[in-house]
Amino acid sequence: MWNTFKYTVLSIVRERGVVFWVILFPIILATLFNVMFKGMDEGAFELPMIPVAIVDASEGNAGDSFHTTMDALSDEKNGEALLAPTYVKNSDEAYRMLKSGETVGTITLDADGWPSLELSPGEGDVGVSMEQVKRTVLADVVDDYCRSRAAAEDIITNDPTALANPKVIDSFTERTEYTSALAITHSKTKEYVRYFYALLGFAALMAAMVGLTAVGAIQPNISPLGARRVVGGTGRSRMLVGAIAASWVISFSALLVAFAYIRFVLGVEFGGREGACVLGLAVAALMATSLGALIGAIPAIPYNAKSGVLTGLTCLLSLFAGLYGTPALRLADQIANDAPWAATINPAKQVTDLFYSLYVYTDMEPFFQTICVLLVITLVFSLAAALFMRRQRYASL
Amino acid sequence: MQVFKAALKAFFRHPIYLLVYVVWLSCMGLFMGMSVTDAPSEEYLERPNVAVINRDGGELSKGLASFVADNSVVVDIEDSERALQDAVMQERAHYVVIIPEGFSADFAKAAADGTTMPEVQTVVSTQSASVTMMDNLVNEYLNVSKTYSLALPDAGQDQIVKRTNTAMGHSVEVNVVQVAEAPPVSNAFLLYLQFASYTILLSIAVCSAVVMSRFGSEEISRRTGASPIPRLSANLQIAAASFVIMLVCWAFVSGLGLAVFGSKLVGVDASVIASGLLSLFVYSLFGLAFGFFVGQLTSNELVMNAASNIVGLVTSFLGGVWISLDLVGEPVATIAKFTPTYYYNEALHAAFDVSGGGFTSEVFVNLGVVCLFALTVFAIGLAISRIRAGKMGSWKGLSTKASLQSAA
Repeated sequence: MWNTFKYTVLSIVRERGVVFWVILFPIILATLFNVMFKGMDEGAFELPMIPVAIVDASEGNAGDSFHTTMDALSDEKNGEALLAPTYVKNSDEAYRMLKSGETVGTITLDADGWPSLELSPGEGDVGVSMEQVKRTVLADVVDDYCRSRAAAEDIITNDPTALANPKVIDSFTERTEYTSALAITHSKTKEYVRYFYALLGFAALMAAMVGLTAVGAIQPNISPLGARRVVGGTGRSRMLVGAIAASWVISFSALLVAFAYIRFVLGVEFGGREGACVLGLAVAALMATSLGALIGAIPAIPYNAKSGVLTGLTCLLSLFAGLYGTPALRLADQIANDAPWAATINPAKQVTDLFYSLYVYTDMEPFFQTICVLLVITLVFSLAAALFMRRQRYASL
Repeated sequence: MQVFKAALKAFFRHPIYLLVYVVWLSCMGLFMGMSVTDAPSEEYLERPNVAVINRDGGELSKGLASFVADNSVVVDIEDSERALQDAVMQERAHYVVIIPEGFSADFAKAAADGTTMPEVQTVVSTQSASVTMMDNLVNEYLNVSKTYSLALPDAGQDQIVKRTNTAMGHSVEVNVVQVAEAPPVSNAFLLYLQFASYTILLSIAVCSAVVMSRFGSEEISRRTGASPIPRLSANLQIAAASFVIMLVCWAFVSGLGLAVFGSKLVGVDASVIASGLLSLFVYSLFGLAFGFFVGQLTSNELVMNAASNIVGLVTSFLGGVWISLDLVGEPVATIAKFTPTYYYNEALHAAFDVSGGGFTSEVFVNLGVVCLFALTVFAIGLAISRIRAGKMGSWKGLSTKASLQSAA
């Protein structure tokens, strides 16, 4: 058993393809994520400058209050300017600018100085597009002006006596902040950490490649090496235990390397619960080994194609864990919400959730629940693998 | 045509690749495409999902809650820590407003006395522009309420809330301009084609690499080298077979997309759809070139899978088909320009542009860049293959072997 263990470890470590998959791949991908999301962390919440054309058809001083508002919003000295207005003569020119994409909207002031807004139509993009954000901000800014003006005019018309109070006049332009943000989750939520968690889910499934290789090498109907080993003196079960133990050790080590790289080299946060993360990885490695054993034991698929099956499976399951960018993350959330069972039976999603629950929840209960789910999945995979492996007839006349 | 036939045979002997990569991965694209719903074209606002936890029973709280509800997508959430954490974690609510007990009374009192105004608490799951705008709306409402509270010191709060609501009911008249005659392409189809860059790169690269590596393995290439078929002809036939494989993959992905999203494309100009599919075709050429490159590099299927997968993932992320490049920083956006996927994505956007689209010059320029990428990768593959062929065929190697044998 010890010899099986030792030589399984050696043979897998020497297999270039496996090492590439389970160790290099997560590291390369994590590095890519890091490059992409560092920028997202820093600059994503800044509202962009919004180019807008203004057609002023107001008479007399009717448009003055609007211009004051516009000036305040486009004043670069006063913090960041939100709008970049261009005053144009007529609506034809404004339309030309809108069509060519120079502006996202046109504000037209009527004779009384009330604005109306024309916006460019939405264009598809992955997740939320900046164009959509710009349209929203523009509409909100103009709405804000209309509402304040409506309130002020209402008071001037219906309660002129109130204007004697200087506080009322001040409050027309005064802006008080009434909201204070509250943190209810264990760590400050940064969405991009979820991609790293999904990556660990992906890496865990990829680590099944190890179990697949190890189990394939002791199955007489899968590989010639397996056939040779079976006629040897070592019992099947002893060989299996050795191979599985070796796979687990390698998968676990590979995941630890990926985790250490993500946590300590890239500095991604795991809610300060690294110890629990290691426990989670150990369970994830166990699940991966059982999955590898299961695929490795399926007799109908030729050995070479099994890695293809595993890759395809990993890609598909990782999609539902949210690995592939913003739309995939939304899809994963939607499924977890609408069909929780589909998320429960997806090992990639469960591994991803391990880290997320550590990051988000204050208590540890959800984490241990996920651990239990993973253990059940492991058990199911192992039982199925055992069914395939037991009492196989390899050749019959 | 012997080699051509043999190459295709080798491909079809690996149905598992066809199944896993072409069919399976295309389904991933389908899932992605089907997950988005097209906003009606008059829908111009990006509003977050908001939950209001009203712990106060006052008039102002009710007014604020209903104002927020009118301007967002409201989700119901139970008032408990765990429920809130869940909502935030699963992104069911992007923004939660918690109105504390006694808020309405405190607000009226503070406005009258001129003391510090009370605050509502907010929980933000993911910071984004739409959440910031939602926060502004809440502040706007309370600012206008304060104005009315000051202006009407003797009025009851119900009166103040009523007039606040009237003022806040004002909004600017918005028209969304239709800049093109035909309706724009459905977002679902765009997303499907964007995702297809990954599908197609992976499936073509892996499938063609499998074929090429079969012929590239030392024993087989020695055997084919010894046959009367000229080397060039054999290579061209293998290339032709790979091209056929590429066509199969492209046709499958395109056909599947049209079949599933066809109903959403009614009324869209045929040239717009055709130019989108042409973009995918040109990108497929890059997939083919990459498959050739990988096939020259290794014949280990595990490494082939891994190399194609990682290049597929990296280019898809960097190319902006999975994450809007607006959101990542400037340096990344620059790096993105060194991936073919970026130009494919640009071509798609140009083809599906709301103000027309179709076969515009912008589409062709971008596709031209994709072609250049394909050529470059192909040339590197060729160079590798030359080096390998050179090594294998050298007399020196053979003579050493022969002399070794004779010595033995």
